[in-house]
Amino acid sequence: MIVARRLLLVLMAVATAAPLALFGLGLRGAPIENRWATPPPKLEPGRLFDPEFYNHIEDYGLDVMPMHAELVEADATADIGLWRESPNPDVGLGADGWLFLVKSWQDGCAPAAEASLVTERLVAVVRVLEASGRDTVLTVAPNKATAYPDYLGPLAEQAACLEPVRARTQAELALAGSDYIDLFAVVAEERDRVRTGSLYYADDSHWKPTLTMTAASRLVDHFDPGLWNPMAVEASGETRTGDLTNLIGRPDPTTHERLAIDRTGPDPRRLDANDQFGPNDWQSGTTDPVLEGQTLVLHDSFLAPAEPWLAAYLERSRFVDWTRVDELVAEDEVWLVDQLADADRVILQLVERNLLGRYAMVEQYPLAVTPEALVVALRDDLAPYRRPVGLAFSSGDGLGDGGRNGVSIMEPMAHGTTYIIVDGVAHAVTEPMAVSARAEIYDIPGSG
Amino acid sequence: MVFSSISFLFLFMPVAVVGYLVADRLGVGLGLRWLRNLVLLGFSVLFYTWGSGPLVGLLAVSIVVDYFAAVVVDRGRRGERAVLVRLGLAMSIMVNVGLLAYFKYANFAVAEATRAVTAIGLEPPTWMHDWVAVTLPIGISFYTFQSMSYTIDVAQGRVRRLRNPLDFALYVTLFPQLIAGPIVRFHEISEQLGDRRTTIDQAASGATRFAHGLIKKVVVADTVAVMADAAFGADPGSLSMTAAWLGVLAYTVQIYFDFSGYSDMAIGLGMVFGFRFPENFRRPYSALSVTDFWRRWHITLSNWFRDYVYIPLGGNRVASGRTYANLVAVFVITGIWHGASWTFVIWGLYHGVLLLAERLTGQRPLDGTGRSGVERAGRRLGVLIAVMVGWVLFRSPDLGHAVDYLAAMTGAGSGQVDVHPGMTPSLTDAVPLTLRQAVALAVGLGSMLLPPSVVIGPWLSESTTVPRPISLAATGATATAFAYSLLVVISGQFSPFLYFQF
Repeated sequence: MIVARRLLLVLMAVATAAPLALFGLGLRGAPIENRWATPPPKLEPGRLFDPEFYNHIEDYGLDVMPMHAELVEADATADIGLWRESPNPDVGLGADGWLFLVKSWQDGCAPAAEASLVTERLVAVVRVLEASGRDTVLTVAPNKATAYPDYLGPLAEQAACLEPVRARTQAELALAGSDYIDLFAVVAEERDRVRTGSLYYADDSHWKPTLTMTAASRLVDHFDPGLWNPMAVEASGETRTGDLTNLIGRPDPTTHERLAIDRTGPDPRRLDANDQFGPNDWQSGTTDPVLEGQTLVLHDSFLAPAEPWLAAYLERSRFVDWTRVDELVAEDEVWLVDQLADADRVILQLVERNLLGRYAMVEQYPLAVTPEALVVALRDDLAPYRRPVGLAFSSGDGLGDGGRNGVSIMEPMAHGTTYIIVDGVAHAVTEPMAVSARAEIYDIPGSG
Repeated sequence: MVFSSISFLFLFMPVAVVGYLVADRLGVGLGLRWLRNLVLLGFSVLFYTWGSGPLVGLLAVSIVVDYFAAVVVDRGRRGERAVLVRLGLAMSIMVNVGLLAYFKYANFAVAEATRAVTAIGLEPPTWMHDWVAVTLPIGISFYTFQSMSYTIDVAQGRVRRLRNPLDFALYVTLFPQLIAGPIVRFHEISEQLGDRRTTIDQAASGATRFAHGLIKKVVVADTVAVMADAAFGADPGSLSMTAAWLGVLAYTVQIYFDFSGYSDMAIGLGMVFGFRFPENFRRPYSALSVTDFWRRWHITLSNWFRDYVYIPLGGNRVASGRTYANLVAVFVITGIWHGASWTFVIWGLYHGVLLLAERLTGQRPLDGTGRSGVERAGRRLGVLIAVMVGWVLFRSPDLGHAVDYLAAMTGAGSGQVDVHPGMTPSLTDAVPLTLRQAVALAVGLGSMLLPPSVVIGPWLSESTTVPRPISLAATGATATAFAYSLLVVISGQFSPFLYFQF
């Protein structure tokens, strides 16, 4: 027993001291948590009693810990192989090695705000933008679990809760009429057409470039049917690591197709030096026809890879990820409204999990994109929809005076939304109400 | 800093052990025997500062006060001046209990006072409104008790006062047992402060014990904690009887494996530094009576209260009524010591009443001698259930919740848990039960079923008579489980983001 315990002592000493010894020998681990690496802490006497100093040491030590990635991966392997459970509760283990983002249905099944409220607001925003003369399109990328439910395996039961929410949301989105591109149908068609392989990555929460390009083509053709005609589509290999494998601590780089398009003349030129989240401004260089004017593209990671492709079809464009929109609106409440006002054309894209989940920008910053705020900001452009003074009122119930003495009863429009601006603030009108004869009233039609 | 953290296991511990061993050898070679204590004191202060920052100042206050209180007490004893002894004791008790009262109980007291004032229809005074919550210093319950024990031991004549303040500072701050015990009374360790030796076999035994503790904490306690958290986090009215029992069973396993695991790690580390700390647990769930339970559960705390509170109050030497009152009072104080909440008060009272009932009925066997297997099993089960009922009080956030939870254990709950949409309802709806949790729970329950005489940890880490096959198998299992525990600790701090975070 003594010898065995001595052996255990040696093993424990090696196991616990090895990372520090390797660090001393100059070996550094690479950060694996998808964030900026913590800089080395500076030893300053004044900070010795500051707990943050020690937190800093711990963060730095974790980031540079030799063998960190390998040890995390070993534990993840044990979780899956030994315990049959996902190392990360945010990632579910589906069938045939497919991984799913559990939040893609959890958030949708129990959203912080009613999904229909969010959808209604988005559709209303599209209507106001269209009425203001801005060509607008709304589209929603289906969740991976929606597109490939067969691979959910043991997760199917829990993911089923999203089905009624999805059905209701799709019906509500359809209210946007021709301003909505139904990618659910597009993806279903493509999935049925492409028999071999899949259109979504098994180890990532996103769709593959083929579908990104399909979505981009539908968006361009929406504004000008037949415009999407890339002269060439190049395909070459690209090494990428599935985001879900990163989340479970088992990053697994694999080679996938890489698509590119080619139009006549120079490629579009990017005018800024921002990161993938934007705002990224582009200027087209092609001599082929383009969609003229300024286009604002509010998107998420599903459309991000299409940025250079779309930019090739847009004379001037600005791409902003919703994540960055959140930050910018937090700093400046009217930033987004201003952006929309400056655009000639607007593309709104979200993935299903963001529309139904807690990330939904419209849910987090409702003031920034409420249709009411837009009505105020775009009131000049909405002039054609302003109810003429004197015709705006009814006086049948005796409560008002037909507008003669400044007060009357206003009826909201039947097929659309009526907005009234009072003291610079717009309100949607849902019931007859007494208003001043000088009130600004806008009747925004129901569907585009 | 906790033992089951990356920073402790892979940074602090290796550096501290190597630093200590170097200082120990250097001290021997250069004739500087104090060097190792100085180095260990330095690491202990760093250990506390790492997690508590400027609150290390309170630790220093406790040390300074008790060092000088003992000087006063010692003079009093040598000069036979009882007033000095009393003065020194008063200094120690007032400062330490005062620190404890303010930092641990002030928030609770103010909240209760505010509630009472409001309840009788008065407006709470401004200072109650403006009360800024006091931060609880880590380990204050432990180090104040240790610090006081020194002065009391000197006053009781058990030990001589220490001449070297560094040795006393080391006794109070000694990092293996600083923040979660065992509570080492001064007379139990006084000689080791100046005279101890670390041998390779002692270090090996300590390392083995440490490994067992880490495994108990990480592999068992933290795993079943998910079940306990789910059960106690749910609305008790919605729990089924099965879920309620599963939850409290999980907590019963969790609290024992967590606390005893931490004690194992402390004892093991102490051995590496040449110390022999007292045992803190001895198969408590095998107890045949509640009295027996308290001789097996958190033994060092029980001993502290026995020696420094119960016996000075008169112990068993006073009239029966007074003894019983003392007994219940000590357990109410024990409850309060665990936390500032009515649940802890009632938990202490509950155990006090159980002990009282056992005394009054004469039903408090401490071993199974002369009793049938059926009786022993029945007693063990009965005590276990009584203890589990106590854990409901201990774990619940408030008394109302505890009452509702206990009702759910009798089947009063609806069993209609509002499971988060999108989550797979588990076997019992509220309480998850994965393969990992089932195994951890089985290990925990299995340990409860072993005969009371089997105390695996100390046996495997110190015995020299373990048969070779068992020895090799146990070492292999310990090494594997320890390595796995390290992986769990490392991955426990792995928190990746789906998208890049700024």
